[in-house]
Amino acid sequence: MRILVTAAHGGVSPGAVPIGGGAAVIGQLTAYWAARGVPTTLLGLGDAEPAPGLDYQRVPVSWPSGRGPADLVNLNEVDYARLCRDFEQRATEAILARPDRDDVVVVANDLSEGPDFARLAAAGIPVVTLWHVDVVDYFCRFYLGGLDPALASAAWRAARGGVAALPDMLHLVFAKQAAALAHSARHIVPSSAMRRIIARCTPGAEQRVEVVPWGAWSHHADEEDVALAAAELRREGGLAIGDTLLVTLSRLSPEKGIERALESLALGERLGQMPNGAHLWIGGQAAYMMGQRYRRRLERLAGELDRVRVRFLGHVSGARKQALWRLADVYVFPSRHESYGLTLAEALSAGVPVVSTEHYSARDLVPREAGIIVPNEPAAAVPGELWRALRPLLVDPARRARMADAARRAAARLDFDRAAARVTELLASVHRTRGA
Amino acid sequence: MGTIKDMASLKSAVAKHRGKVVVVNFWATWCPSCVEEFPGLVKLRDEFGSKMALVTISGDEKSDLDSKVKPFLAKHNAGRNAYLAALGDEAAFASALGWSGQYPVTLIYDRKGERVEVLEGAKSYDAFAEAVRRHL
Repeated sequence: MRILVTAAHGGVSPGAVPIGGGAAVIGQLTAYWAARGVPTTLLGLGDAEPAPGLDYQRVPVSWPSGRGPADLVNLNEVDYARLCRDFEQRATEAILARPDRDDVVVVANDLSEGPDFARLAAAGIPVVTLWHVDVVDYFCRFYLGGLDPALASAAWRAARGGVAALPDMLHLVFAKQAAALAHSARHIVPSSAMRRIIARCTPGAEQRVEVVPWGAWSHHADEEDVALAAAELRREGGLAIGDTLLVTLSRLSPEKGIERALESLALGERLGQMPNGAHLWIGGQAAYMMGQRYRRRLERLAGELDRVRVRFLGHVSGARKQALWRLADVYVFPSRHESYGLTLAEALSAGVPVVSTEHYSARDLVPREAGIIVPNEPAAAVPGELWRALRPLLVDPARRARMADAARRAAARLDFDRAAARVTELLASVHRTRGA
Repeated sequence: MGTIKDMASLKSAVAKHRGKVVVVNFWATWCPSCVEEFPGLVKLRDEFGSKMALVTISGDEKSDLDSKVKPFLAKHNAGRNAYLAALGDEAAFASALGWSGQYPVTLIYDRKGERVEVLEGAKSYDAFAEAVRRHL
């Protein structure tokens, strides 16, 4: 068996990848397979060197004029959708042309960057789809004003016969997801809630859905490098001993709700409840689809705070990321929509207490002793709820220490290698039963 | 059908079978791997007879109890010692078990009621039988 991974972001440097979590997961999975000698080929559109031991096949695509892989993060929705559609066809042709096509299992990493599911199924090539986001659910929430995804899916099924030439964007959202659901041998989702959404939107499809929570992976940064990075971060941010550091880490994108963390701190200031020495460090890169505009909004809100010192760290990885976890007193995760929440698992692993809004996985991941989950609805109440959760933690280091211990205990079960082993088992099972 | 709400109710469900090896399987009708491995567990129960007990805990929605869960259990003659999971703090429950949250997961308790193995993912009849024999 050879695993063929399709991921448009393959071969693109991490800072330029628009789907942070999905790209991180497939990066770890391919590294896991490479380390264990599982024959694996990554099909991507970037031109960066693949990870050691990983076979990489670059799929040539047509970029918008003057653009290339380094610009992936800066593409607008229309250009991204067009690129994905081009990648879909060219990656599919590349797979069909392979001499070993009868011995492969294709892993589609994220729907939007997947191959042509129907063509591969027709050729008898099994596809296992890794879902990092339910695209229809996401699109309904953020582009269709909160329309019920089940209604949208039903409307799509009813109307699709009458749609001759589908715009790339609609193809990316509705046609792609419907094709993946119809033709994938298995779907792997990271949370039970995501499975329930799939089941509600596409009755019957849930019979091929496996829930595999990703957990967190260990980082192998050199201890001396981490200590140096921590000292540097402290110095750069003016973080004194005894100060309290709140950290949030994600793509800078409206669905991440980072402005709500800033609004909660502004509320604390207005109420005269903000203690001295509070910092908020925001890690992550502006994402495609409204990311740059959103970053400017966050900077404006940060500029309105008087007592809390806010820093934008940009993309954080390696020793610097480890150092960030080491310095953090509380991890704030104010996301509006999350399929899993990799950074929640990371925070728990690092022994950092969590304040998170409720989303698909928050309650699966964070026990009450290790974090506080606040409701995501009504939206107007979220900053107030966040502040109510944050305030006692800002002033009570002993409570934070107890929560940190609970976080470490909770993280013991969140081992990425267990998830990777399960995915590998599922791929082998699909390979064994191909054509059956 | 009873419900498992927390660790205490799980311990109580296991304690009823003190003196036997207890195999606790978390499964769901929506989980293809669970459905595939389930007949192996029933065979295990039948072959080990009075030496072991099979306890099944469904992760299905309560609304699917009559339409999906009970018919599945009846089809496999596994209606006894069957429970529905209705967990409060799911993360705390999973943490206490060292369970990543993947379905299926099978816990093996020895004859004294101590949890001795946590088997994540679908397992074959042979793997289950070997695990039970280790603790007889």
